Amino acid sequence: MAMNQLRLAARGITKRFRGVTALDSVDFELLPGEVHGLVGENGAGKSTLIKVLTGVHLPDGGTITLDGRKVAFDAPHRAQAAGIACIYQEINLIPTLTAAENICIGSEPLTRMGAVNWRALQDRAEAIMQRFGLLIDLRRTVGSLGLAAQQQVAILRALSQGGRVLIMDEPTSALSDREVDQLLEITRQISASGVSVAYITHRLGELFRVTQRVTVMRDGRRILTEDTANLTHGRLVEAMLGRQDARVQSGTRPTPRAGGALTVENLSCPPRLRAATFAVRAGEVVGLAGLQGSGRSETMRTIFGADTARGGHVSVDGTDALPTTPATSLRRGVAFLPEDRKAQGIVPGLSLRENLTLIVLPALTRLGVVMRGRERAIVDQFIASLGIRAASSEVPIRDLSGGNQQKVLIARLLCTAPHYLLLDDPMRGIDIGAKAEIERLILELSEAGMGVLIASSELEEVLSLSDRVVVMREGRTEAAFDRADASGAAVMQAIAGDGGTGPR
Amino acid sequence: MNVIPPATVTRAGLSPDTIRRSAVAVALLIVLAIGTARSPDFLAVENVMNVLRQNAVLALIALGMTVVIIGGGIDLSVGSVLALTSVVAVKLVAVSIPLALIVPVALGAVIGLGNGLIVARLKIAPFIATLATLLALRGLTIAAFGEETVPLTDGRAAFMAFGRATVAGIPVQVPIVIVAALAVAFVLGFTRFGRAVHAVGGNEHSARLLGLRVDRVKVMIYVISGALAGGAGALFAARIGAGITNYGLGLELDAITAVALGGTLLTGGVGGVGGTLLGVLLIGFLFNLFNLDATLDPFLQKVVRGLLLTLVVVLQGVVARKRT
Amino acid sequence: MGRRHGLLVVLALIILLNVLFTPNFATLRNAEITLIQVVFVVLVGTGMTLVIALGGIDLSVGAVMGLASVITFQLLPYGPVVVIGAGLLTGLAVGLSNGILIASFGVQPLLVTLGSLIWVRGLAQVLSGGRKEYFQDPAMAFIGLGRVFGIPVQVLVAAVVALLVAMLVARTVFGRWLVAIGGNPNAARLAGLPFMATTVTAYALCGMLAGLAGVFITARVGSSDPTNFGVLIELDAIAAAVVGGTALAGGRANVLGTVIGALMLQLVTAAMIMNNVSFHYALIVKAVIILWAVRMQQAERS
Repeated sequence: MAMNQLRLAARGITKRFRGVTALDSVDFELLPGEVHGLVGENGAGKSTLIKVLTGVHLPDGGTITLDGRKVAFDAPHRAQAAGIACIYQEINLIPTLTAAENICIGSEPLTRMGAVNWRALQDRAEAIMQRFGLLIDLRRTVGSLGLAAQQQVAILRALSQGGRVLIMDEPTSALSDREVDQLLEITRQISASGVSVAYITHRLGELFRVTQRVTVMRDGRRILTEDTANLTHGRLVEAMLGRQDARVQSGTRPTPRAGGALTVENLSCPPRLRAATFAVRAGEVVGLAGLQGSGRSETMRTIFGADTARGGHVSVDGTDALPTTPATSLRRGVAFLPEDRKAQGIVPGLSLRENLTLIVLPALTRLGVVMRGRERAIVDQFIASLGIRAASSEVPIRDLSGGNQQKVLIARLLCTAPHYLLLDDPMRGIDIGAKAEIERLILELSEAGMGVLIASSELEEVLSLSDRVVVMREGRTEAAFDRADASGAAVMQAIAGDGGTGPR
Repeated sequence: MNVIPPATVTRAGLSPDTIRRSAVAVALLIVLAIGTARSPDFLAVENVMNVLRQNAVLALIALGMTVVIIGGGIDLSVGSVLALTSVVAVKLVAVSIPLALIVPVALGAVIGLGNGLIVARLKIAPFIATLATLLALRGLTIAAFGEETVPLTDGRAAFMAFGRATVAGIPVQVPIVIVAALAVAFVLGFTRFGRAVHAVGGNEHSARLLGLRVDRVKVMIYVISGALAGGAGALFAARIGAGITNYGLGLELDAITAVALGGTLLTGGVGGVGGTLLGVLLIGFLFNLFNLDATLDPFLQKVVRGLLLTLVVVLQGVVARKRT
Repeated sequence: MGRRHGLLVVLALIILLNVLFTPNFATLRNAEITLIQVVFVVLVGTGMTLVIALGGIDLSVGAVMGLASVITFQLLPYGPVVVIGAGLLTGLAVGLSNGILIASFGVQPLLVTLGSLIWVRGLAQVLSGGRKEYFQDPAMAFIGLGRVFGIPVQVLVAAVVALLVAMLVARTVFGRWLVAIGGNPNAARLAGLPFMATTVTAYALCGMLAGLAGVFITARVGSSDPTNFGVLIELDAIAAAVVGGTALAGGRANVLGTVIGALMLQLVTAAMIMNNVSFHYALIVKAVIILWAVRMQQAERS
């Protein structure tokens, strides 16, 4: 297609950060008035591509043309001025100002004397709102509006500056079903008015409802771009995760022992967790599979008490475990390793030793004073048994590699002698060697009787470790597979959701 | 054209903004009622005029503080600015009276510029930045002018006449404050800059992403606060007939209390001039009550001031928590 | 640890310059005077270090000194033990009030302690009628001016207190919780650390140390002064902590650094006075040092 018929053409976009290639010669294009889906797991490069298109980053290679003209944005406001706007998952509006004010902020209409013309401001906001068929009380503060309405205000703001391209980054992740319908309708109207929309989502079903084409990214590359009509769920998932021929490793694993279980029933924590039901028995490894945004992290956080459950039951070894807090869960023998170790795991200013013993410290004290000898003994023990590589236990934890940091965090949890371990994407961002060691550790722990719930997008990992695989999709547990039945293809089908035979 | 049904249902009843603004008015009425009950002269013209005259300085400072707080900052140096500019005003009366009124304002603005640059460019937290300025100004003032009161010498009569003047029976300070209040209200409500101040205070990160010039806003709010404090210094000198180098410590806290009482959120982004003026009146009449009532320990005022600020801060925090 | 060495080097430099250029500096008497004068900032600064490590601040410490001073005076007849106890309790009460409000309602520490600063000062004035009161009391004279093994009592106590608090931070559970909560509140929450208890304890300790400083200054000066004791000392305490390496953002508690910071600031101030620079210019220099130290901290972090 000739470049000057395209609204947006990004060609050969490459971006590197400190030696890591985030984007590898990616092509992406938008036709005028098109809704073009963009999908891929975390680390696929979607957000980096968005940042390049919106001027947050300058690409190391490649070109971008907008309506036939070559452009380069070195700052966000330049991209905005050119007509490329983006709405993100976090609503970037001013909650204390009204919807109308937010829509016009920075370019409020003025009277002849130079004062803000409030009447005209209101009219302008109303006009934009009506152009896209929306109905919001523009006089209300954005903070007092529901999430869906806030998002609509953000969209209107984005379009108010003469939008040519609107990028929507996971707009439906926090919406109810009815609100999702609304948003898709709004998206159709926006594209009908000539704006090109790049629609990023983890919910594959939505692609079939609103997009004309879909681009799949993986590992920083564009894998495919295809008309939506020619796609199936199965083909999308396969492109996103890579071909999964993995079969279960040979050798049977010992059957889980008799003992307690961590059972979860209809657990909900809206908006991302709708209904989760499954069980993890003592000595069992359960893999929680599914796409990003399917509710895996939320499930673990809700079980642990980091988020407050709204409905459902959790029981640990027979006792009711809701409502709960992190401290209570740890006491009950349930431990949680968060996904983002930098933001929620390590205390960067403290040493390896201090991080490792953070939870269990009271048990190592006498009259409040820490017994150095005992502390060091435990730390040395774990350094040895987990193979933590560090110059000494006094090294600041931020100087350790990702894999070693993760081991320290796991050791922190193991100090509490938990019965159940909830690991959220534990292999993220760590090297192969450390990965193998942690995998071995998980197997050893389960053989010793610990129940392990492990969430991951890497199917291979999940399949090789788990006794059972539970698949989550859009906030619900969809299917469960025993080891014997869990093949890569079967699990992918469950992740895709509809047997992979066609659009929903 | 499709019409999509509204995503939210409008709630009936009073909005939190209305409640906040009426609360201070109600509290003021209560204080006035109690005052009249306890002391017959309370609402006499002479007393009321006195209260207005004496609190004009606080009012000007509180106006500046309103702008800074709405913008998400805080200015602890205003009391020290007032002390310095009051002495400068006194010294300049000998030269020319108009100069004695203008230079303090300009000086205050320059000091505010310094504050603003430290906050915006050096990215130092406002409370530390303005606390450091407070310290530096105190040092500068006393080093330059000594530790005592600096009385007016030449031109005394004219300047003090200005300070004692009335306009149709109302102290001259009142229309000055009203004009200043109207100007600030106009800027906050009817200029793009004023809207940007609200935005930056409401959510600085979003304001930046929305393309607003956040750093410029941050600098200007301190310039405005400084200028108003400078003006207050000149006014103070005119009323007292002297500049006091040691004065003002604590004035900024009264100003913050007045602003918070008036409904401006100390977290930024919300508030207004009207509420602040009511807050100043509330504080003014409340402590006037203390002064008139001989049975009350005058030092109790300070305790009440502090508890008032603590109470307002906690209330604002509780209400904010309920919202999220 | 590297940070502390850097500090000691700067301190040594300041001392050296003073030895060379300031008359009467290199005398034992002068060293002693320096140590004596720095006692109050060390006590208050130590408490402030705890609170800052948590990510908070306490601006009411000076007012607590004033209140403790007044209560001290009124309890003189009951002997030194009661007096010191009362001073500590006063600080404890104010600290608890601050800590509970901050932990329960999630209000900014700055604002809450600004309020406390006013009402505590006001309370001191109410209880004393706003008057300074002079007294003669042998026990207090000892606390104020006495010596043990030739070392001034107050210097000894301040040194011991600083050491104890440093050990508290380094060796106890509370100390670990303090820096963990200040360093990464999210991680601390997921680890089940007790936010309320740690916060309240930190502010309570800060208040108590300020109370002790109030007793000490009363003893030293021989009078209680509700209005002037402790004025602006919170700035000195914050400056000492920041210069000494405790980041305003929280997560670190360098008590011994605060002591060194206090010494540095005192030496700089004293040097100026001894070189006939007006005390008030010293205030300006102090302000600049504070800004510079905070700026350095931020540069270090990013």
